[in-house]
Amino acid sequence: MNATGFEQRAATFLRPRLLLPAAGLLLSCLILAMLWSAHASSVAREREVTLRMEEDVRGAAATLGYFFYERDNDMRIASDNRQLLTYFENKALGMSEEYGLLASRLSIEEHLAKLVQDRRVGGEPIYSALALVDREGAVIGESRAGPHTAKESPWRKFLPESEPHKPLFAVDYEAQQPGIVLRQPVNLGGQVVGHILARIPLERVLPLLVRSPEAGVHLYCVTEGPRLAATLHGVFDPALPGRLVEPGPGRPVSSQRVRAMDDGEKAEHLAIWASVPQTPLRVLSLVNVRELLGAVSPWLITGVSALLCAFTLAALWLAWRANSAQLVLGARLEEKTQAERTIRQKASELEQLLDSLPGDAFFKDAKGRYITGNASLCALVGLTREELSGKTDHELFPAGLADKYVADDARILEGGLERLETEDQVPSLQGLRDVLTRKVAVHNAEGAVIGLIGLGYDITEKKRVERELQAAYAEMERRVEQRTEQLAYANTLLQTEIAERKQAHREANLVLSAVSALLVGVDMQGRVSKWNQAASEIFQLAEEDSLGREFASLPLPWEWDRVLEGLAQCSLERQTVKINNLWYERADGKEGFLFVGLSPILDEGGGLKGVLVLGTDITDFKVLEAQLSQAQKLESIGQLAAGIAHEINTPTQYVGDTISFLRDANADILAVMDRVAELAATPDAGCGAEALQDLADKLEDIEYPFLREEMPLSFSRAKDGIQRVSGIVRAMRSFSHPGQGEKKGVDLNEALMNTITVSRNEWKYVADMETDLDPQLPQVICLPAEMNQVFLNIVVNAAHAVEEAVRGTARKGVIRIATAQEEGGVRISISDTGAGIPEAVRGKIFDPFFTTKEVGKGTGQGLTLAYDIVVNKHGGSISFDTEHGRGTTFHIHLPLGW
Amino acid sequence: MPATVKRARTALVLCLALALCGSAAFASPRDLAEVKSSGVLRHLGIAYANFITGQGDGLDVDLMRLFARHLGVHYVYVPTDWDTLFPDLTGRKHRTKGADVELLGEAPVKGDVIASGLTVLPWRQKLVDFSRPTFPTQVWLVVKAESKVTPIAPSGDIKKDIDLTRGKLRGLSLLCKSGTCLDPALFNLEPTGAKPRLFPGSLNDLAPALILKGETDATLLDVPDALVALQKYPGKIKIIGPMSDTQDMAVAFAKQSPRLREEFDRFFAALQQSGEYDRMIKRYYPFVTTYFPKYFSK
Repeated sequence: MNATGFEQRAATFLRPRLLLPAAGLLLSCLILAMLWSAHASSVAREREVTLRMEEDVRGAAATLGYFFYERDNDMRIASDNRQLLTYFENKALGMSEEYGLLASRLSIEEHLAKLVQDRRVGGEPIYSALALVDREGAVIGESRAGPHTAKESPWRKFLPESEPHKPLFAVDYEAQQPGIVLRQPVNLGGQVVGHILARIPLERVLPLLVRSPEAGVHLYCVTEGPRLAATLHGVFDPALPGRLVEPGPGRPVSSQRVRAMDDGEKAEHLAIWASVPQTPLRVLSLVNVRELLGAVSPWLITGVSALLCAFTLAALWLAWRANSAQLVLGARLEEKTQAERTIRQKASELEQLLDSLPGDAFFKDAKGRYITGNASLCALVGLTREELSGKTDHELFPAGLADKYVADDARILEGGLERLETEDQVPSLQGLRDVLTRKVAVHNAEGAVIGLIGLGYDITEKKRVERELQAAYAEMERRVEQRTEQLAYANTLLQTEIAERKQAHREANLVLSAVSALLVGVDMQGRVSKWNQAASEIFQLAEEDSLGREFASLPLPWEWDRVLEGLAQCSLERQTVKINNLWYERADGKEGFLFVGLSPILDEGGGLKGVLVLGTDITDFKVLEAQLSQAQKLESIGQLAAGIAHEINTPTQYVGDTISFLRDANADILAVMDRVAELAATPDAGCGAEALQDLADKLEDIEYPFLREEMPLSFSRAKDGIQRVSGIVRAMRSFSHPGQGEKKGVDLNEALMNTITVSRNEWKYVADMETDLDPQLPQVICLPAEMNQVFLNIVVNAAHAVEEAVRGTARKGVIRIATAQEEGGVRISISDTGAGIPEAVRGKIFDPFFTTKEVGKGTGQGLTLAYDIVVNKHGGSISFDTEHGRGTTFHIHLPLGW
Repeated sequence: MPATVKRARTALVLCLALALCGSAAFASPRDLAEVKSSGVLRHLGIAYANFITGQGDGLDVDLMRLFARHLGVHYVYVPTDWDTLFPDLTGRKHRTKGADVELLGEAPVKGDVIASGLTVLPWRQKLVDFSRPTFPTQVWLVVKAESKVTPIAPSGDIKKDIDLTRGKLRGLSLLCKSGTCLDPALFNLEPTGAKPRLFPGSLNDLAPALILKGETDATLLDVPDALVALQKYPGKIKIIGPMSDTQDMAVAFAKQSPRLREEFDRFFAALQQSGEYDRMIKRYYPFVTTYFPKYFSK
């Protein structure tokens, strides 16, 4: 703005004759407008507060409406409850309380009590009571009390006298606390059979639903027509609802100013009320108008404000008049100073702007001379900003580059191009730099080109990075291609491996199915993970009925205790556990035996993954074993038979001889006795000396003194002989008894004596038998027949060893049998003074079919059987001490087995 | 799986295996000292009503768990069946002839105690020793809701009520279960004209057999089972009346386990006195205390 224009406008404005009336009119209008606006806003605020209150009340009514809608739902759901209907059904079926109906009634009470507990608002139960009553009014079930008769029922007054199918919503004013009573019919087969009744304590529940926006200012209550049903917040005059004018139809919210008591004095209040949907209730709110809108009238505020404004305007007008001329002069000076400051500031800003630009910025005039440049450009060309001003490109850059720059500038300055972007290599102290230069034409107000602005960026680094990126990208593409080929190859290998593994898995499953032995896998949860065909056949339990089930719960008829013990041992020790002769019941109901191996399944880290149970039916083997055992026994007996026959024959022979002697003696004595009888029959003949001499002669003839002495001895010998025979027979019978296959308590001393007896002929010619049997030896639980076999085998071996040692000599060896108690069982030691066991064969003597005896004298089964019987069947141990040329002692340890 | 969880599971499996293997086949029943030294109490049971739900809980399962804790041993549940229930405890097979029992051969002993809603019956008392009563019961006659047979009107005298109920049996096919408290031999059915049929399934399936399969006119149910059936099949069955006097259920012990039984009786008395047993009853049979007020007031 120039000075002339300003002075003209100021003079016009300050012209007194026109200015003052206009200013006065304008100010008056302005003040009136402000006053009206202030008053209108006061009235609007009053309306807004009223509307907000109405909204609060309508919201409260809607909340209560929704609340009672929910309660209506509660009642409908409760009346349709299965337990309620069941009670009426059971009653209709004729069931009695004592036998069944009581359960239905109790379940109803539980259901109602649960409903009371579940339905809450603000943590408080909504219902104070719920009840089911029959059509006669008798309470069937109640949430809080026992059954009532129809007469004493507190619900009776709410039961319908007509139209029983209609629900009820009523306010009970007679109760100690006013409450809402809801009633819903219970229908069964289209007939109303009873009612569900509920009580909601109004003053306890509703305040939790309707919260006063300003406690102590907004008061709330619930009314039913002209009656005050419940006060929610504050204190209400019970007569107030009756004083309210009934609103017109269709108005959801009504308001009315009423005078009501507040802090002991009557004051004007605003009453606002709204109907609670679907109920006869209304929500009524009361607020003191003074507290709502304030104590001072908006009109008074408006008047005072207007006066103050008028005084202010007058004072301002006078002050303005006094200072207006001075203000004009000040304004002109200020404007000039401001313009100069602005120019300097703009120049500084331009320089700062140029300096702040990233790169070499410059400004050239229409002839292509530099007007200014930024610090970066100055540093590049080695000049100050002032020195740069007026220079051309030829003064700053090499000729070739300067020519290009001048040519580029000409394309813009001559109006051919609006902007231009070039890339050039510019020499610098650091060598050649890649520079991107952007040039833009600068126009004056008339649109003519008056110069250009340029900005050069150093893109040396960017160019280098681009080149490196291109190289890296090429390298990456090459590597991706190479890696893709490798992955394709690896994928092919993987597919092949997967196919091979699947094939191997199928083959493994086929192998497992084909295995004739029972095979069961048990995982770490104790569940069956594998169940092969043989297991299905042995136990008649299909794979699908066993897989995934708890192993120990399967109905397998076998010795579970041994299996589970083995399972535990296998799991703990992580070693294969073998269970021999495991009893089980075969599919045909007969006894069977399994040999079961329990092997731990370990993962690669040695962690236990489960247990593999592998069982083989050895029932047939057991039968063969039993037959072999008996055959071996019979073989022993056969070998012993000759000796035993001899043992029996000797006493039998001398018993026979004795009996012959006794028969002859008896004949002689009878002849003498006949003569005595004859003399006795003829007493008259008298017993003279002749007769006596005859008797004496006869006694002499028969060698009576000899007979008298020998006959008793003969009887005794005969008896001894018979006893020896019967002893041998008894021992034989005891020894060769096949047994019942059951363990029982056995006196091992007696068993050893029987063995000594039956084997007597084997050793008596070559050895003396010595015994050292512990008389206190306890009975041992064992298989008696099998143990006899063990003792016999060792004693016969001992006899043969001694025989070999004494062969060709006159001396006899010794076989010694001893028994003794020791920790955990008994020890039987059988020693001989034979040749001892050669060192070379000591490790083989328990091997099957190994023998050192001559052909026909041993089968090589004796010690093998002994080992099997002692170790496998009795859990005992058998060992030997031997010394070449001095003899051998076998030690047998047997646990007591109790 | 965390290593600790894995180890815990392994230990559990081993514990179970060791526990079960403690019972030697054909061995004698164990008494208190042997149970304590073995570290395991083996609970024999059959899934039945809310005594053993089959879901790992039930009144008797909880009771035995607490008893095992009282003894300081682990608890192991050993499922069995009505045919093997007593042999699994006593180690002897048996055959019943009315109220008499004939002992047969030996059987593997698999458990130390039977707690399975077991009713005390004379023939059972010959086989095992019972604890003090743990639960009341009674046998009821149950028919389908649509049956023409009507419930009796209670007379106030249980004997008369039983006679009235028996009078309703004529011509009815009646499901019973041998070897249980519903064994027809216990009810002298011949004079009633009822046609008893032995049910091959489990006790829990009696009510479904009556309602769903229509296999029979009526069935016997004991009260706990009938209460469950009333809740489970509302409006489908009706109770006609009692077939027996009030009976007791109790926990069974082998006769060779007197000290174990005495210890249980002491434990159970303390449990009742503490109020804990009432809470257990409330959980599994919420109405039974009201049904048998005299029993629970004792």
